[in-house]
Amino acid sequence: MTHSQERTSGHTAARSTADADATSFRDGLVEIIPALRAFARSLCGHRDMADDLAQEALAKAWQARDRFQPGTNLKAWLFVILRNEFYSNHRRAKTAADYTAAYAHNGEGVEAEQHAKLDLTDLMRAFNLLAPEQKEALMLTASEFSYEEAAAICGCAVGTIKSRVSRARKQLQLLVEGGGAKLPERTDQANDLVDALFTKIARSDTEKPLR
Amino acid sequence: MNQKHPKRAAKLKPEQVVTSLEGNKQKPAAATELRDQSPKSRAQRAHQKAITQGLRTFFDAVASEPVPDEFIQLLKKMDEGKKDADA
Repeated sequence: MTHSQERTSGHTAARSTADADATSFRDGLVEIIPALRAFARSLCGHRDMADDLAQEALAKAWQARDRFQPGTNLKAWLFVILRNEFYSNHRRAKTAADYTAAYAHNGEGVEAEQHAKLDLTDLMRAFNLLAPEQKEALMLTASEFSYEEAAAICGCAVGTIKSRVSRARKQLQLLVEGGGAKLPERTDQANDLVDALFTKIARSDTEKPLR
Repeated sequence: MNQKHPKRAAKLKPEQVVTSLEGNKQKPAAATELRDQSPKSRAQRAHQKAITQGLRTFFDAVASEPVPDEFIQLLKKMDEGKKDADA
């Protein structure tokens, strides 16, 4: 990361401003890559697909950098690009089928407090079964965005995000209760979500225990 | 707070008052519980909190992975493109 040249260059003032903008934009992108990868993984489950998606989004963002308004939320802007890529490039038929299969059954609400201790593996397997709209609403609000910001990213009303989050949570709850017995067989996609957790555990034994 | 809800319920539906008054005989907190459906809803809230924390753990786990090399390559390409534009 060497940006020494833009300060010392003999370009016109306008050009060096553009350089500085491009450099700070690029640095902004670099900072957001980890979160962008996480959002992509949440949406498409598969690790390699997710990384391809994140790279497509980064490239698109770079091409469109003139349209970004400095001072606005770059991360939200990138997330919008990523989800546009996701919805335009990825067939949704399969996801919709998974979704329907997962909710063919119904269940009672959770009663005991002990169920609050989630098996994260089950949680992510269940999460993988949700509709993309629910995945993004849940993950955006669970990570760091407010309902308002999530609504802006997804291009919908705040109330829509709230109801998606609420319904998605209930569905996750149904799926993970009873030790995840209602979850279908493991899939490659779900395993990629779960692997992320195990990698995390392996890397940081000293951090807070996963429960 | 406990006094407030039976009154409000009384204006809306008389049968709810009966329910809440009966509850009051057993437990002082019954009026609140009627509204919140506790302890079931308390358990539900705990569960939802656990779900949110679990999802955040996942998000953070992926975000803390080392950035794959392809991303570095992509950034290099961007930097080179920028230099080309300047030249």
